[in-house]
Amino acid sequence: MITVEPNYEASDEIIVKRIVDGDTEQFRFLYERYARKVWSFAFRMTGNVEAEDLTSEIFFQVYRKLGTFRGEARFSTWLHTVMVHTTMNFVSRHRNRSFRGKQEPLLHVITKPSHEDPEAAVLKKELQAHVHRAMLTLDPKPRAMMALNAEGFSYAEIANLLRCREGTVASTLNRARGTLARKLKRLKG
Amino acid sequence: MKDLLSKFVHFCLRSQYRSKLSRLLDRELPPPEAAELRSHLTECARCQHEYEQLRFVKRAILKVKNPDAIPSYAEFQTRARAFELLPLETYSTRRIRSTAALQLKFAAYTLAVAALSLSCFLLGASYASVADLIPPVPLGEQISMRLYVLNAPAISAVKINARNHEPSSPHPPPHTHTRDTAQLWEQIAQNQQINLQDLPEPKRGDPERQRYDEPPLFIVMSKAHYTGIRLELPEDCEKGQYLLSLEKMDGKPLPITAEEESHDGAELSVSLDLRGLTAGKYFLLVERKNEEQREYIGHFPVRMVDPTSNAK
Repeated sequence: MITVEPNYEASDEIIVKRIVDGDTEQFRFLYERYARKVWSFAFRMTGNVEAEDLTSEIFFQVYRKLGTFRGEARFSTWLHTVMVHTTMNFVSRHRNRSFRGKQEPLLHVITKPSHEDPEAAVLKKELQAHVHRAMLTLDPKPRAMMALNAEGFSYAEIANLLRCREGTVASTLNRARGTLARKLKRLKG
Repeated sequence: MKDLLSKFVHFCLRSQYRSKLSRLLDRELPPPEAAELRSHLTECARCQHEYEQLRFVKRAILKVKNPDAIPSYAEFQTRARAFELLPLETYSTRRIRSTAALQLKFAAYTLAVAALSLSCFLLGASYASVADLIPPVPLGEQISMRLYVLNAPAISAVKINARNHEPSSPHPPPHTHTRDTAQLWEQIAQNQQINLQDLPEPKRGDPERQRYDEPPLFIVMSKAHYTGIRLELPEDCEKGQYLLSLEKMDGKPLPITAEEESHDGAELSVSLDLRGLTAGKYFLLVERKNEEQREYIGHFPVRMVDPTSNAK
């Protein structure tokens, strides 16, 4: 009789080794570890519907290219690089399609149990939708910078991922935020 | 004129400050510059207003998320099947076509390693990386290793058969081809710079545990999901059901156990699933089940090593 328990605390690099050696079921652990971050980035870059496609495509690429991961950098750095490149290709392929976020039906929002005033909750949701739509009108690179910044990446990391200088990241973010602020001026408060 | 100049200077300074507002917001400014900019914001209403605008946008973007809609792994798998996701193209996932071809391939690797070792020894060079020399263990392949068993009190000799099993068939087939690759693994040990003396003593105060002043048993984990262990039991051992289990060095048991019947009391063959283990130091505990009780047979430290990493 043999008892087995998988090691959920295994590092990314160990899990990658196991997958490359044939235990492809271990990919589940990588997916569950990084799905939230990848999804958030994909969602901010596209819309609700396209974000599902994009998230899957990012993980497809990660899975396909796992054998090429040499361990010279951290796995998370490598995955984020794949994430950004796949996204930029995806957005470029779909540039003629306007991304639209799926809005929740207002009724659902109002009937959700909440401590907030229902009207305030609706306004909040509307604002989020407007912010999202405004973000989707930006060019892919500034949009990607804002999305990566929202995920906690530093300017240096963003510059590395998007292959530009840190100064460019700073000025682009400044400009893009200013643009969004002007677009949302009427809706603030 | 003075007034105009002053306005121009003020305009230039403001432009300089404005360009740094996002950096301040994202904490990307060095502390002295951040302090200077914050001081300016207390004096300049326009810059302060602009800063608030940028902060509002940043916070609004942080709220743009839809965590309830994250696709589950099951959904991802469904999509992967729909897109006919190709399997990974790696050595270890290729199907084993014939044992003969594999034997030849492995023999070629071993010869290559031996030749390289000899030339390196002659040239006085050291191994760059074991990973470059040793191929991964393909699924289905078996490597037999005779390891360093130096006077372990209870167990006198160990031969390890490492094999990648399919999870559905945890036990190795009754008879499989083995190769003695002792020299290869000795080289691994040298390359890993493993000091066999370097293991802590068993937990004090436990009468069941023995002290081992001799170097310990040394098990190599070779990308094997299941490691087969064959133990020669002490002479006074009886036939019966034996239990092998792994423990951490602090005595905490791990959920890795195996039970095997020893028919003659001389030898024991078990398979342990090592998928949950990372390289490190453990105790291997051998007990004999005697109705409701367990008879202690041997308890000795082991070291799990992944020979393709440089970790000790």
